[in-house]
Amino acid sequence: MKKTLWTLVLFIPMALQAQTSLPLKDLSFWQNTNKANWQIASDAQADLSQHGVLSLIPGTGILVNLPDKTNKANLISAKEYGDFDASFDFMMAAESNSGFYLQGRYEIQLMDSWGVKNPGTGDCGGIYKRRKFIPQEYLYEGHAPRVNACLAPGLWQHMEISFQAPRFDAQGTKIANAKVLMVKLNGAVLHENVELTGPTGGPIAETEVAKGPIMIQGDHGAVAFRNMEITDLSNLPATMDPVSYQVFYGVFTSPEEFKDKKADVSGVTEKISWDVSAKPFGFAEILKTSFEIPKAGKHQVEFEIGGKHIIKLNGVEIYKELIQENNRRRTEIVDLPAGKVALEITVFKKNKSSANKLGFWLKGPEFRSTAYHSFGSFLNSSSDDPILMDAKNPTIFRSFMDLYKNGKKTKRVVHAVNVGNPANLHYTYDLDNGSIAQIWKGDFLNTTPMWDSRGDGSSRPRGVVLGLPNVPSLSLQENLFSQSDVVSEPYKIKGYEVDQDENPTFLYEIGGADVTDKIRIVDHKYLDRTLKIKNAKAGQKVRIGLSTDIKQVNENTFVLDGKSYYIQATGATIETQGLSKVLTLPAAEQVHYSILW
Amino acid sequence: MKKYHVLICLLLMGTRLIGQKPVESDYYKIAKIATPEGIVLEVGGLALLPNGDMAASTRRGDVYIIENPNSTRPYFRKFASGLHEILGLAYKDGFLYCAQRGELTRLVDKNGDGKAERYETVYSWPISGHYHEYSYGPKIGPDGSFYITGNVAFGNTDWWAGKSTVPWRGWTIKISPDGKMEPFAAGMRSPCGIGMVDGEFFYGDNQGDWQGSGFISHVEKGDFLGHPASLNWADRPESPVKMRKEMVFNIVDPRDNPLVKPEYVETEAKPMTTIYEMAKTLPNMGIKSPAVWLPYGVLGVSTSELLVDDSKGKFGPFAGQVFVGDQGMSKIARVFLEKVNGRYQGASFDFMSGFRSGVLRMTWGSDNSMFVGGTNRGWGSIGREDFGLERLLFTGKTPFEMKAVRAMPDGFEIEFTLPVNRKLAADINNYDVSSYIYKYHPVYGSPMVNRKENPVRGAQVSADGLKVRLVVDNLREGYIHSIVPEGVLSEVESNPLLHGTAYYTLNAIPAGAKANIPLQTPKPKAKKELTDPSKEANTPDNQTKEAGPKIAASIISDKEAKALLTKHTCLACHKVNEKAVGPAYTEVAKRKYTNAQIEALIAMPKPSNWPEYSTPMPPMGHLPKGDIKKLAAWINAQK
Repeated sequence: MKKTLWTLVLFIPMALQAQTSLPLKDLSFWQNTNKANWQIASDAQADLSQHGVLSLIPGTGILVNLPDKTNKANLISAKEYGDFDASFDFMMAAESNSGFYLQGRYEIQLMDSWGVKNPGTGDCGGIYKRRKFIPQEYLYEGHAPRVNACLAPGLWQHMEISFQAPRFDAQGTKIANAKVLMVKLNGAVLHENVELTGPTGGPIAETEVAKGPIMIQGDHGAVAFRNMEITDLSNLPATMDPVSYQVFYGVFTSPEEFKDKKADVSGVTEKISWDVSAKPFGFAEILKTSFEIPKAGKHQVEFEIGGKHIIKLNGVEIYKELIQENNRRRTEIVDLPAGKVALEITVFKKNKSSANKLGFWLKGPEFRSTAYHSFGSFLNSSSDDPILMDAKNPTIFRSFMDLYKNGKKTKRVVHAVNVGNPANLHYTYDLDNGSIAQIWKGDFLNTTPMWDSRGDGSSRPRGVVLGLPNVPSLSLQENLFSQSDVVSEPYKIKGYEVDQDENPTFLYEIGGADVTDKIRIVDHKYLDRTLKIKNAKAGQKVRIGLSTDIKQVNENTFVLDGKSYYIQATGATIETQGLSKVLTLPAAEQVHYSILW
Repeated sequence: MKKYHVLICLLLMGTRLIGQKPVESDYYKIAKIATPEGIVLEVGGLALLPNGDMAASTRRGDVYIIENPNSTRPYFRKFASGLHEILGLAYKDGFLYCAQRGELTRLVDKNGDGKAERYETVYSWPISGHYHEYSYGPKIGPDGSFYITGNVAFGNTDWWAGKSTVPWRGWTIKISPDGKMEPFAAGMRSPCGIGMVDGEFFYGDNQGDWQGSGFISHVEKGDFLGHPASLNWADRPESPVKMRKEMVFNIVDPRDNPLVKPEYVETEAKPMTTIYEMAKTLPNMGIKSPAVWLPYGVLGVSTSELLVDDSKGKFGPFAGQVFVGDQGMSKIARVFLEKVNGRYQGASFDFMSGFRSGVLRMTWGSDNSMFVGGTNRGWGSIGREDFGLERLLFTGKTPFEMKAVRAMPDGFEIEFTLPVNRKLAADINNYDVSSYIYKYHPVYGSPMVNRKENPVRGAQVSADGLKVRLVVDNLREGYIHSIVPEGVLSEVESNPLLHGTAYYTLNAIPAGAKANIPLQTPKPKAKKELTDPSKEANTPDNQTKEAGPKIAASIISDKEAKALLTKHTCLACHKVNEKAVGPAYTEVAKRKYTNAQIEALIAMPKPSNWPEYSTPMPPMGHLPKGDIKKLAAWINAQK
């Protein structure tokens, strides 16, 4: 049974590399600005509706910018970087604007782009435009984010950036452009492998350099940062000697059959390559070379090989595959010393139908994953076309839907209704308990998992996902704090009705009450939910939030889960039991609230 | 002028006399239904609406209303969408009903704009989220209730073993119009084809673990149809099923080690059984063996729809019989049912091949044409297209076929569609009858076992030439009897039978008077190289390439190979140089097996050698050894 590779996700352990967590107990990481806008605090809070307002709670742990007319300096790091990875949490004040400059020259825009339908270069996560002054000021290039993954002001957001510095020759002439290898906002990929032809607007200098500082824009608006981490990857990757090879033609079932024979062909080639064999099958080959490892430590070896194979690194057999010839990509973590390390790869292949490929990558404590195979040895292509579903009009689509928490799958919702919207704000409704199980921003669904060949009946959200409590919305007092996804009262699913724009209203009966559940997207920004309940039992409540962290921000606004999302409701109450909190409204004839994210 | 006419008549007669065999398309024609580009019409359900529109549901979750469907330019209107893999459709009292993976849904167009606004959940059933748990239907019973059937899931490590991990998977359930569910029968594996025949509920299952071949079965409340996984729920208070897993496993070794896939074993510790025998051993427990078997590779690879011919003769000579679709073979078979001693049995015949994709659903159009829709995504089919909708039309010309085969106290009676050549039909040497059965075991599919020849001792032609009463020895109850009137031709035009074999499932031999004819002894049959002319003409796979330079004198000719491949049903799954349900013979040749290895693999195939193919090859060791040898050598010579 053929498995397609869309399921392949490589989780690269961060512990592999030399990571620095920026100390945010003071401003010592940064150059002195002689201005007061940059400060240290323990927490920050923004108001959804008040432009530029960010209030602080004294203490340490977060970095905050509160500019005014005279204090609005940019913040520049003392240290300089070539290649690096950065990640941080940030919080925007309403309508605020900032930027994260790589090497002080290339800006990743930080912006309150909440509700923007088609984000541009100036929106959150965009690679900002370049600027020319001759003949007059003129903005050009830049790279728009793929999706608007931006959350509401006052919520903590997460950005990850991978950057490759420009390359220069011995004379100092640039021979390769700087590259944004990746930018992820709240987990959604915004850019991949985007080359930068030069600095973007407002850099510390218009010249490009091998190493430069981090700069955070401070003159445009209030913004807060925490959990800032930088991984310095400036060192050169391990170098590899020329590869000596021996090829044996024939059909072999084990290395014993050929390893001591005289080779049919032998020689030396520059890079690791399977096609030192002239035949695509019915051959065996032994490739030998050495790496010069710059720094001792944990290395990640990655390989994808057609044919049976044995890999020996530093004299130790680290992997062998003696049964399958059609192989997926594999990774092994190995401790390597600095200095010369020998590599020996043995491959033998008898089937014509299995793919011909030998891809080999190495990643070290201070260098990114680097390929050591020749171009023809591994073709970077996939024959599987993804099957994607967009929601240019409101779209209802049922599929299985897997829910995740902290990267781990927690449940497969089997009676799930996914509702997509041209506002790029979508949700999954669980018919089995009348809950909104998750909402997401970005494109609608990836239906490849269910429509490629037999499929598995499930689809995946495309974009940033917010998981919500997958519990019955209506609850009796005794079940108020229950985390169970099962409805404890008599329950009957009745389906849904759609309006003329194809927006659904869900219908069910619970414990003798008749419920209609109408969820609508407003302004590209938030979900509006109205439940109409007939014959509600006395004491029945509607749970609009269930978490260990629910805080009231103002009369009808609550923030949940460590400032992950807001609930707005009039007359809602927080009830507490131990560590658990629940936000409720009484089950009246009409119950209304909004989810802002 | 007269001479000219006579010449033409002679030419025409001459053409026929030269031996142009009839083909299926002489009598029934397949017409494609023009579908707008972009509509992925993976048909999962078809229902004719009272106004003549045809409703079609798809695996992509859409319901289309096809207006003016009998024309060259039908008009497609999307009625509903976003449903979860719809595999059925029915129209009742003004509404469309369909089974999604997880519920029976009623679709309501409230404001008459041609679109559904209300997606009502009539009943939502448990599903585990496994891909294989497809749900089919509804079909509507005489009492107005909805019949739904559901596939089992499979294990993780033991991916071959059907599992029922949540209630009612592998069951038929009945749902009342107001949404009350009643579990009806268990023991199903892949119950894709369901339908009402004479007001009784019938279903067809797919060959797989515990199901030796495809078949159709009458299903009554409390029945157990064979696959034990569903018995997990048999002891629930609402279950009418009396069978329990232990009762099955006392008779058949379940071989349920999750690390070892059960392969076919000729002699096992426990004596071999069939589901027919198990029903006899455990009477009154609801065990139901098939009414009519659909032999694997010929008629029953992936049984899909059941459709009764209620055209009263406007669709040809088979009024009242049941058409059965097959997804993998892109064909439709035909079943004649009768009741003997109060239970259903009968004969299956080949009917029509050549549909563009897998045949999943059939229904009648408003003009007595048959709408045939399907898909092959995930399983492959002989038809090369991914999906499609076609119509099957009767030309008005009656084919020469075995219309029906009825069991007699001492043999069978064949009823033909047209009068037979009396001399040929009365010669017992023109009939070949043999019988065999399938094992009931946890292995995926079963070879034909306990095969025996059944000598034909007498043949009596009726006065009108339409019926022949055969006296046949060695009849065995519970066995499939293959009846091949090889040498019989029609009286007019001397045509051979369009489809030459009837497969009669002899559940009971009727009591009654024996045929009053003198018995003869048939001549011993030489192993003829003659092709079965009807089979050769009607498989879609006639792709044996022209004879090329021979490598060795000992390899048979392509013509002989084609004859053997057809006779032994290899061409149901293999083509010579193209991938089909199984690998191309040229691909097999490239593996450079020895002839002996291929012979061994024909007898005991290893699906793990071809991981990219989803349908395992059944063991074919029952074929004549000489034929296997010849075919192995011939396959190896394919380039």
